[in-house]
Amino acid sequence: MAEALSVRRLEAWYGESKVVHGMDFSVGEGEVVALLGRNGAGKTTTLKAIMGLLQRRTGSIRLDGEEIIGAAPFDVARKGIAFCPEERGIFASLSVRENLLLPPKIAEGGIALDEVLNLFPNLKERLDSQGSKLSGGEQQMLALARILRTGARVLLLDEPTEGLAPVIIQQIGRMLSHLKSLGFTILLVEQNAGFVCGLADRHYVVETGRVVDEIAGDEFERRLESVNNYLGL
Amino acid sequence: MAEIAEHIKDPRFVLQTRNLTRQFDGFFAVKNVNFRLARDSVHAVIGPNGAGKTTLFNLLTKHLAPTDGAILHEGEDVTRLKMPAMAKRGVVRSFQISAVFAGLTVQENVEVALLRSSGIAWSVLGRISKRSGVTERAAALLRRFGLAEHAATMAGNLSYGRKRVLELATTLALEPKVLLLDEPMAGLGREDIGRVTALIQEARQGRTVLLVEHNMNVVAQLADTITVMVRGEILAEGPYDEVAANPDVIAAYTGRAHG
Amino acid sequence: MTTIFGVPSAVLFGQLLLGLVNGAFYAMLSLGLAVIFGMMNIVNFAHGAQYMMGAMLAWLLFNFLGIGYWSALVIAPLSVGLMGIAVERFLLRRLYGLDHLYGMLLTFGLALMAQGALSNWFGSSGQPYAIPAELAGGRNLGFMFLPNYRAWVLAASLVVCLGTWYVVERTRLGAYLRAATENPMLVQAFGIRVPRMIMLTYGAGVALAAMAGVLAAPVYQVSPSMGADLLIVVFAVVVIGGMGSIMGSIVTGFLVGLIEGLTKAFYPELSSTVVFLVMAVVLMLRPAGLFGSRLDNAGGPHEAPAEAPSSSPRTQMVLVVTLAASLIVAPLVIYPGFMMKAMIFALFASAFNLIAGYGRLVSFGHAMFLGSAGYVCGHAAKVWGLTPELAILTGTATAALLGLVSGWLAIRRSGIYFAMVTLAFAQMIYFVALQAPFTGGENGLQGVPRGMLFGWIDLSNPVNLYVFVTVIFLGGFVLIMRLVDSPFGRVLRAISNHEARAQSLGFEIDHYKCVAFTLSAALAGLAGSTKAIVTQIASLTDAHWSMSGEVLLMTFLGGVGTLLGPVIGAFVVVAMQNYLAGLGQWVAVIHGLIFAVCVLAFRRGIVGEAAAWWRRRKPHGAGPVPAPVQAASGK
Ligand SMILES: Nc1ncnc2c1ncn2[C@@H]1O[C@H](COP(=O)(O)OP(=O)(O)OP(=O)(O)O)[C@@H](O)[C@H]1O
Ligand SMILES: Nc1ncnc2c1ncn2[C@@H]1O[C@H](COP(=O)(O)OP(=O)(O)OP(=O)(O)O)[C@@H](O)[C@H]1O
Ligand SMILES: [Mg+2]
Ligand SMILES: [Mg+2]
Repeated sequence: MAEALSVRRLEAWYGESKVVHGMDFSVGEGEVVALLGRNGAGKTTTLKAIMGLLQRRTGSIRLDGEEIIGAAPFDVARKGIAFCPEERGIFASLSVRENLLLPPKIAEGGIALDEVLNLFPNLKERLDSQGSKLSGGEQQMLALARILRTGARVLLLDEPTEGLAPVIIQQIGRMLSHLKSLGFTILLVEQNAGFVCGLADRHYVVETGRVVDEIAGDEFERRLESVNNYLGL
Repeated sequence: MAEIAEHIKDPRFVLQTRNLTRQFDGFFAVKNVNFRLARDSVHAVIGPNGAGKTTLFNLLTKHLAPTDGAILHEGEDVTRLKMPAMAKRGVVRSFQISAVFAGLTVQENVEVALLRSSGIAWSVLGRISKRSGVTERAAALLRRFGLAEHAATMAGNLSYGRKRVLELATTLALEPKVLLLDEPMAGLGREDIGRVTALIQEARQGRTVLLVEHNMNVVAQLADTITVMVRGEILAEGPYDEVAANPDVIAAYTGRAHG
Repeated sequence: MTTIFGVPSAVLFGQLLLGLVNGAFYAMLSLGLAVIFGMMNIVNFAHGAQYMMGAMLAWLLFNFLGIGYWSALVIAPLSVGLMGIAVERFLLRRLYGLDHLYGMLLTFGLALMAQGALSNWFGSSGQPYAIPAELAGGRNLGFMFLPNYRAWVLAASLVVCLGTWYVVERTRLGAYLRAATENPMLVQAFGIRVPRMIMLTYGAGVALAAMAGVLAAPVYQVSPSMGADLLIVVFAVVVIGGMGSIMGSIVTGFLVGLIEGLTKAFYPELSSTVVFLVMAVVLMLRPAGLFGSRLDNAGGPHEAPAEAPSSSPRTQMVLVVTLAASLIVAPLVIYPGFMMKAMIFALFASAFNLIAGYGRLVSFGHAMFLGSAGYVCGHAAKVWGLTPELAILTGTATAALLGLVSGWLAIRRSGIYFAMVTLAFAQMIYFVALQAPFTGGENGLQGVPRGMLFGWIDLSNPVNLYVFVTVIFLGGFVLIMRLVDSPFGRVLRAISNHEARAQSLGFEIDHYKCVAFTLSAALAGLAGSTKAIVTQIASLTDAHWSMSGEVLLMTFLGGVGTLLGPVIGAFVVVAMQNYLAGLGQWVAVIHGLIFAVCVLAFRRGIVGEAAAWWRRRKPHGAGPVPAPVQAASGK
């Protein structure tokens, strides 16, 4: 399988403090890969580093073989990576519709707006509300919904199920499978092992800024105990 | 008013609402809710996203004013009180999106709350270190919450999960009589979920806890009573097993049968 | 001749027209401010200077190159806009992701530089600029005479305003811009070239100001200071309207112009202060402004600057003793007059720091406390014959009262709005000082007696006076030191970090803020009163906005949010002014330069940088120094 995204020896800093210490992993074309790890392990930081949102980072990040570690965030986005951040990043002063339409289309092949809205009926009802007025879960839905239109092929999702009701989580799980079947490549940060189980093709366990283990999708249930161990249960 | 007078006589409930309603531009986020929070119980509010749980919280803690209806605390009508007044009556909340004092260290964050609860926050010339053991109590709380090693870290630099733990520690520092937690487990890893669940178990001694939570395992473990909200209204109420088996609840919230 | 309420109708309509024309400029300027603020979260203090540069450039083009009005109307905005682009590209860009305040300080510095340099080159007096021939004359409307040029200004400004409104509120570009205000990083992560977009926006906002300047050239006199005073009124307009909405700024601009015109016709004495009174009323009734939404989240809670950990009581003792010892020894080697002046300013700056550094409420109007306390103290000593300690007490109490009232209103807004509100109040006090009967107007209140302290210590004795000032300064310093470390100080810092959270913990945040502001005002008043006794004069300069700028400069240069910073900053600035006194307007340029360098290169100030360096050197310190997080910009 061709590698869509490959991260080698990635190191990243916040100011003076180094948070990611040599990450190595890759995501194949059309694959769903999950990063698992405890709070503060550096999962979010890794995603931000890929997007170019951290000032100081070294190592190598390749998208379809092309080096992007030096690229500015808008370049990374245009090359086909879309990002759904941890704290949702809804624009409070924009309406839901404006939020949805904000990310520009960078390629063909995105999901049409109507379809996106069918996936998230809550949003359809509140299209003209201000972003800040949505409930926590609705904001999470909006954050996901708005990157599906853009046509980016690689999606970075930071804890997309956080704060969502079980029904919606199941719905999002189905949606991600659907996206996978459409050929999207997905890198997922999750703490909800139940959610990634059966969804991801591979899992990487992250501890203090390093990948410490790799677990294939079909091995996941068998190795649930060691996963729980890693996650501190 | 006659109705309220009747309620005052029922000392089993710490917080009660009477036809509580909040409208946003014609949209009912909370609609005619009659809600009772029994003393010394752990009560969970669940419901799909946008059901009005946070709004209910905001109403109870006075972050929002109701459009209609009344709120009683310990039998007194508190509908018109302001936000800090509720905190002083012992009703304290956490936020759905973590809220810490980013520019203060972890230790200082907890100390701020302790200053309030020990009543010396208005001391203009005193020193914190010498006062009523605030520093030691803060350190003890941080140890309990597993934050001791981060005591000197700026709270803004904590990872998301740790911020949530800190927020809970700060809230508990106030020794609230009624604790309102909005999705305390969101963003927490399993390790922390376990720890926070244990902490809430411990904290419930002698107080009343109301929480919104989407993690059903946690709800099952903690809650004595569960209220299910849908579209601003109460759909069902009762103990976990009863509510979890309710077909309406499964359709609206839990989806396929789920532990 | 018809009269309306005793005013001849021709006069009334004339004033109303003048008011509308003024309003057109308010509208255009506040619109540009709102656009820049909305997109970049920067209060462009250089806006007045850029307006002035537009007018000056038109004047220069005509007088030196013979280029006329219509060409200037294109050339001036373009060139000033290009300058703006350069400023954004090379200076402002370094500040994104930092507290919004830094942008305000930097542009303030730039404005000082531009205004100072142009005054040096072309003098500060006003120059006439002729109305273009095509628009000369006017027409009689029957009830009044309408000069053609004024009609043109009104029409042109309306077109400009509505055009801007359309772009921002109704186009996709506008949505990008609004989103980038909230979270520029994320907008970049969606693939939008935010840096370039912001650069062009700033350029456009600046060009708008310059265009207003060219339009204004034939109406007002062209002078390097024409922008500064106008800008303060525009700030008041912005507070009245609420910066949230573009349409709001436009409507409010014209409205305020009209109100001013009416006041001029019916009660001219009030015409220079009426705007500020309206502002106060609006703050009382609708704190968010007439058109503002409640979104007042200026100064995001997540970007707290590195805070120096509070020092132990022992370190503080050592600090105070060292300070006292060096102040006692100093007059042996340094001119005592200088020392006293520096100490007074050090107290002033420390008072300012109390609210700006620890409460993160940066006031741009602290001069009002220094100035008014000086006048009242001087008046009490000279006219009422009070002893110095009572006179100083009276002055301090006045400042405290003023602080209580203005603080009570100002804390309804936060962040940069707070800065604008305080600046506007200070301007009002300035006008009062200028016009009130007992202040001596332009000359100031002279010949304040030093008198006998407690009736028996003669303050005209230089040694006594020096000791007196030293005691006051040290007393104030120790008080502030204790305040900062007290539970109250901690709560104040918590509030400045996250208001909603502090409220939910049961703190009445408005009470805390108001008390802190009043304390700060009182201490500033103490400095002002002492100054009046020491220098024996209370003058307008102490109440002028440039004094508020100076105290900011001292505090930021020394290190905001540190105890010693304002003290050191005050000594440095006062020393510099002493040495550079012969340079005239260049002093303003140098002030501006220091502002810019401070903001760009060492934001923590002298003391803050030294402390950070010290902590870095000591490897076992409690973790790394959290450097102010900076946004990635391009590479
Ligand atoms: N802005 C920042 N400045 C300094 N340190 C930071 C900053 N943000 C995060 N950190 C630190 O970096 C480390 C990794 O954080 P990161 O957010 O990547 O963790 P995470 O694995 O996503 O955790 P979580 O599951 O809690 O979101 C943590 O120790 C955190 O304290
Ligand atoms: N300030 C507001 N203005 C307008 N509508 C609002 C406002 N606040 C909340 N709403 C709407 O009210 C509804 C209830 O919101 P609330 O935040 O209470 O939901 P919730 O039950 O907490 O959901 P979640 O589980 O997703 O957090 C939502 O549909 C939301 O969009
Ligand atoms: Mg994370
Ligand atoms: Mg909620």
